[in-house]
Amino acid sequence: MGEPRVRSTWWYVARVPARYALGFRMDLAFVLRSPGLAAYYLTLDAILTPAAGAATFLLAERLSGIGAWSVAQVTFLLGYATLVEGILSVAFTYNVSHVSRRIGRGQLDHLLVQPQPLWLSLVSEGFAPLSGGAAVLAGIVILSWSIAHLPVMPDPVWWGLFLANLGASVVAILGAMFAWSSLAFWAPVAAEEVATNVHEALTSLGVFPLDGLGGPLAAGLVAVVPAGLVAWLPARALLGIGGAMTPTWATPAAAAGLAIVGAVAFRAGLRQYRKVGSSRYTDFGHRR
Amino acid sequence: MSDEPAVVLRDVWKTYRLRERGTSPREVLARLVRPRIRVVEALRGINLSIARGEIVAVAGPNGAGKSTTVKLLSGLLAPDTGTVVALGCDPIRDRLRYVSRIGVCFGQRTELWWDHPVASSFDWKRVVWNLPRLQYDRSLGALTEMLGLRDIWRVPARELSLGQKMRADLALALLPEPDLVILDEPTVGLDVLAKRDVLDFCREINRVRRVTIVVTSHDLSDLEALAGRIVMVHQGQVAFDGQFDRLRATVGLQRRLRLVTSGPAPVLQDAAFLETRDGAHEYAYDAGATTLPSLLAQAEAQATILDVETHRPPIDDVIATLYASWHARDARGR
Repeated sequence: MGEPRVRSTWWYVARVPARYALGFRMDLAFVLRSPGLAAYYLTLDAILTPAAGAATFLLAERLSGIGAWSVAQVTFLLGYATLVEGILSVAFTYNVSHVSRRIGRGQLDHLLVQPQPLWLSLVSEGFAPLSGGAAVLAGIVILSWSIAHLPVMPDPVWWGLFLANLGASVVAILGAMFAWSSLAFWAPVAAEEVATNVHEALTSLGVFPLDGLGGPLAAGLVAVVPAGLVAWLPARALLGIGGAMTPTWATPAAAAGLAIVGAVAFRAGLRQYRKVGSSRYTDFGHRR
Repeated sequence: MSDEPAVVLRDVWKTYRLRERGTSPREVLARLVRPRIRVVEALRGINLSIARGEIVAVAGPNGAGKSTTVKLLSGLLAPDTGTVVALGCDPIRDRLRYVSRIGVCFGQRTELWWDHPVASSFDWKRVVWNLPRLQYDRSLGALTEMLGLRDIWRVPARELSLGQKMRADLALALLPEPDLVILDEPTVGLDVLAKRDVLDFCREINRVRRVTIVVTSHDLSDLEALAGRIVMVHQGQVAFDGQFDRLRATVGLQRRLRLVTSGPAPVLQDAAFLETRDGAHEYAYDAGATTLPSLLAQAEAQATILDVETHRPPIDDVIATLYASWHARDARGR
């Protein structure tokens, strides 16, 4: 075997499509191997993911809206949250987003013996577009219905802002989950499920319009456990609720901050991992 | 291929700081305020050099520092002080370059995708390791022959037996044709046949490709069957580094004598009676201190000898004797 070359970051970036193609192939084979079970699982996923916002929707329907939010606007918020959740389950499955499990269970070793930067492993290893795609479809359907009932005329600029905010919401959630998950580097047993707790907090709080909360509480729900970034803040900005108070760059800016915090915490954790390694290993959830 | 060693560990120290837990509520509360830290010196100035194309067994009792050594070599752990150089790389600093040239196989872990056929894991490896199609086909062809992958190729990993899983994992580790293979307990849980397959394969791959192999195992007879050289780690230091024969010699020229006689087990001076099983009496003796004819003469004086067999003691017994002597020495030193 010849001496391998040192590759540039861009060389690795260019590998992402091939990794996604691999993820697609593997996922397609997985789904086609038992189509009946896959259909059952996907249907359940399509129903259960938006069901997280059922209470909010029923409240809005019963009260003809929630505060400044009309029923259609609340539905937009729910569709947006469903779509964000769907993207997470399409692109970051196999406990990539629930990374505290991988850290706590000693499974990071599997990533560290791969000849690619850790970021590339994390970006590509959890890609399962078909088995995780039901929530994306559900989100698109709900969003389409709500947009059709809203007084907005989406033009290319609006769609660009929509996509930027959507990506930012995903990044914000991942930033928070990675930041909190980094605790598992120091407390692998106690913090193994911390990502699950953060995720549950985000999905249960993320489907509510958070208007009317006091400043510190709203700030906490944006910066610490960023439930407000799941759908509330971007929906406010995109639909113009609250006027110019919520700029469309607010979510991307907050997401960038959270991404930095997540990356810094994770890197510090990795340094700790190099120092002490993992004292435990369990294969539960690994590549399954 | 260069002449520089495949692996060099120079004065490597690794220390873990473990927080000791209290047992009673009072103690637990006290340790919250004033934590008690236990310092464990996993490696204490290890020096080790492994030539290219060598098979080296790393052995030692539990907690001796084997796992730490394997993790250092796999690039998963950084030393506190000292240097680790493998294949001319620093495993941590040059991680990407280094791991593309090594194959790591942990006996109790799997790289296989659980719900996918074995074939999918190989496809995954080809893409992630960026293997050219020609190299992939050549390597896979050879591995399929040597490890008999054909019968498990389309079977999901979760349906494989332990032996099949190990064969697939070994093949996966060897797929990129690495220069250095690190095997941590590769035969754990395997039956006799599966174990033989794995050991034969490792010998073959070393013979054909001159791959350097570092292997750990608790099963010393496996290690002896595979490696010429054994590095014994004890309390974070290299306690022995040399050929297996020399290791045996350190505990004397130990031999076993099995006698089948007409009556009960004869009493032999200079030989320790071990057991009687299936009518055969087993003795241990030091071939440097006494001779076989003298022992046989003693036996013949007491009974009619029907059958005689001598053999070397199992390597596990040799190691057990060594461990016991180390522990006795440590106890005296305390």
